[in-house]
Amino acid sequence: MGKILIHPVNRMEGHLTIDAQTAGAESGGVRVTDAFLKGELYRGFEQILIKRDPRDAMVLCQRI
Amino acid sequence: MQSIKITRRQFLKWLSASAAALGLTQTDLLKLEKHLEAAVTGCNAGFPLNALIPGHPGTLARVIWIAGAACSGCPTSLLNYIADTADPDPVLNAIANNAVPGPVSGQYPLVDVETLYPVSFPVPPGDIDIAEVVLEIITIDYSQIVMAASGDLPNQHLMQLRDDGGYILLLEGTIQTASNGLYCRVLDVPGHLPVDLTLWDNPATGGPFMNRYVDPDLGPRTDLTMAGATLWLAQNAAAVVTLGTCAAYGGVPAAKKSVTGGMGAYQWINMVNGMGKLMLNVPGCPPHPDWFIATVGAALLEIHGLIPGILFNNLDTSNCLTVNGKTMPRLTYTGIYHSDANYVFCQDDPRRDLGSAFPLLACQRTAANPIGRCMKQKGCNGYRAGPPHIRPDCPTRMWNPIETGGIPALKKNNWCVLNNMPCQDCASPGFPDYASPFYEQTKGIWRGYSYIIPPS
Repeated sequence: MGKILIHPVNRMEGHLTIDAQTAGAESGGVRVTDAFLKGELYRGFEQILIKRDPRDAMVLCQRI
Repeated sequence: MQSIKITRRQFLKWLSASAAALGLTQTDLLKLEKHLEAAVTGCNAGFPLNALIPGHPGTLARVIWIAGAACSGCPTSLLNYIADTADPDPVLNAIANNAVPGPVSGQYPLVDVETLYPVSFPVPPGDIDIAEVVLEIITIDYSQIVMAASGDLPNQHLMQLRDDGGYILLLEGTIQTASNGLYCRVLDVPGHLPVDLTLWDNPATGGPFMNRYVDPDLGPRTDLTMAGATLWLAQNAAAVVTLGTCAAYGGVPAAKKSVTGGMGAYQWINMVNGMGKLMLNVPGCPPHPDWFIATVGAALLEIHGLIPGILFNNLDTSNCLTVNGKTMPRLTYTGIYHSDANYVFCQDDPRRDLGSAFPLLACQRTAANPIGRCMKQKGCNGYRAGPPHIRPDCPTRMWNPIETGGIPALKKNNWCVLNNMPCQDCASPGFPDYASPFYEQTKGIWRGYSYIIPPS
C-alpha cells in the first residue's frame, strides 16, 4: 500500500487536494486503488445571500 | 551559420510566455534568470534591493503569494497590466518608460528607472508588461495560481523560502478564522511544524490553525489552514501586501450572515495576533493593476531613498493606525494617484468645493442635460466612495478598452459608471454590506474602520 497526496493542486482557481491510495509497489506495477478529490474552500455564499435584496445576488455572485 | 541574437529581456519574455507550454515552474524561471544574468554580467549582483532582504544582497524582492477565500479575480486583473508610457503617474511613468531624462516640474521628480533596475542593454520604451514586472522587479517565488508544480516539491521550496526570510507576503482573499480556520486549507507540508501557542496554535484566537498528523504511508505531516499559514509566513516576512478588498478588509466572504469568520489581513495579523507587520493595502474588487504595480514601485522607491516619503508622507494620516509607535499606511491611493487629497469625481460629493475641478463624466448634470445619467438613486456611491484617502481613480485611470464600431480601442476607456453600473464602493472597508442593497440609494452610514477596529 502506498499513498499519493497532492495538496494543493496548483494552476487552478480554488483549493483542491488529491488523495490517492496505491497498490502494487512491491511488484513494480503501481496502480491506484482508491482516489479522493477534496475541495478545501467553503465561503458560504448561500448564507450570505439569505434575506438580501434579490438584485444583490448578481453583484455578490459574480465574485464566486 | 549565424546564431540568432536576442536580448536577455526578450529571452525571458519568451520564457515566461511559454512557461505553461514547457511546464516550467516559477522556480525554474528564477534559476534560468540567475544563470543568464550571471552569464551576461559575470556576477550575480545587479538588483539593488538589498534593503528589502537583509543578509541576501543582490537578490530580487522575493514574493510569496498565497490565496485564501478568493475568486481569482484579483490576479486576473493584475495579469492585464500593460504600462502606458504616457501615464501621468510618476511611478508608473518611470516604470513604463524605463529611462526618463531629468526631473520635471511637479510634485515628484521623475526617476530614471534604469538606476533602479539596471540592465545592460537598450530597452525600447513601453516594452513592459506583467511578465516584465514579475521577472525584473519582483520575483514571485511561490504562487499557487501561477506555478505548474504541485504537491511536496513546491511546498518544500516554500518552507525553505520561509526559513530564509525577508520576503514580501502577498495575500489574496479573505482569511477565515471560524472552526479553527478549516473553511480554507491551503497546503500540506511534510514534517510537524513547531508549536507556537502565541500565534498559530493560540487557543485564545480560535486555534490551533494547523493540524499535525501522522500518515501511515507518508509519515508526519502538517495541514495548514489559511489562517495558520498567514501567521506562519507573516512571521518571517519583511512586509505584507494585500491584493484586493477581501485580503485588505474582509470583502464579500466576510459579509454579514457569513459563518466562516472571515476577516482582512490587517485585522487578523496585526489586531488579533498583534504582530505589528508593515502592511500595504491595495483594495478594490478587483484592484486596478496599476494600483498594485504603483504600490510596489512606490515601496521600492521609498526603501531605496530615491523619493523619500512617497509612500508615507502623502497620506492623510488622520485615519491611519499606529502600531508599535509607527504610523502604518492604510493605502497609497491618494498620495500616488492624486496629489490633491480632495480629489472628487462626482458633483454630489460634499467635498467638491474643497479640491480641484472634477472630471466631467457622462453621468453629470449639465445645463444642456439637467437630468444627466446620475445613478445616485440607483445606489451609486461615487459621491462618497470612502474617506478621502480611499478615493479610487477609476474615472481618470479607466479600465478595459472597449471597441466602438468594430474598431478595437488602444487605450483603456471604460469603467463601471460609464457602463451604466452604479459605483459599488468596492474599495472601501464596508464593502459589500455598506452599500447593500446595491440597487437602492445607499442608506448606510459610513462606519469608518469598524470592520477593522472592533469597538473597545
